[in-house]
Amino acid sequence: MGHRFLNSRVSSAAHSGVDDPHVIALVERAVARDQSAFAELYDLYLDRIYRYVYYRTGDRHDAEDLSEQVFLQAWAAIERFRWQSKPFVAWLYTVAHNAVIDWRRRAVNTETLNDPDNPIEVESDGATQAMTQWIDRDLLAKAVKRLTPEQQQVIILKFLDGFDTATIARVMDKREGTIRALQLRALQSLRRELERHGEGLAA
Amino acid sequence: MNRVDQESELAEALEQALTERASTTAVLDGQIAELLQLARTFEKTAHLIAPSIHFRASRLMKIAHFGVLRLFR
Repeated sequence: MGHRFLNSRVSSAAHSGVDDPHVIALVERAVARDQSAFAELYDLYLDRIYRYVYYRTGDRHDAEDLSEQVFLQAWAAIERFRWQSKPFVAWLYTVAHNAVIDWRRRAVNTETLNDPDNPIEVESDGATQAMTQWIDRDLLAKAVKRLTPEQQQVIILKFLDGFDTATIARVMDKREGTIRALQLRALQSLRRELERHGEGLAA
Repeated sequence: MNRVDQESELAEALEQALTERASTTAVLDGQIAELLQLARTFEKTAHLIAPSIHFRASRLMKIAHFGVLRLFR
């Protein structure tokens, strides 16, 4: 992935049909260094970036720190942003991806997921709690952390962002068949990991 | 059918199952049904994970603060 989204210049018409007009307007104002527009983008995308980073790091404190870094780096680089027939969030994910790589290089101990003093922040209501009782959320997050970076990216883009395979293929510069294969392997790996820890998948 | 073809077929079947949201796991191949169920669970639990309200508020203020932003330019 690298920094290639950050520096490529393409026609501004390339955003057509990729993001909704409100987001496009906010991005264009932010590119012109409008702080209030960027603050709106922050509010709009913080949750998604946080989840992305959380699933890549497995630690909520690191996820918070890295989310902050992602937006600060994005603000610093936003003047270089150009539409590339991809949603704006794809560019943010590239910034986040690079931030996670830097974090991994710095990390000494990567096994910090289950911190008993700081349980993961999960907002839950009765219905969803009942639905997820049979699966350990921490374990699922830990299993995601064990996937390859490409597998992580595919399942995050697919199941968190709800992007279709064609969009994910554009975001990751890969063929749709490759994305489908990555998706299959990711879910198979998750299932194996959960089974290894005794979490059955039968309802 | 070789291993690559088998994987490709399975990947295609999974994609179809994920796309056709009305499908019930009962009519699907066992492995696909399990993967579909896992995907749906991931989808639902993932959206429950969010930064704290405190974090969101404090960082938003920081982001909006010109003095801080200038440091990163």
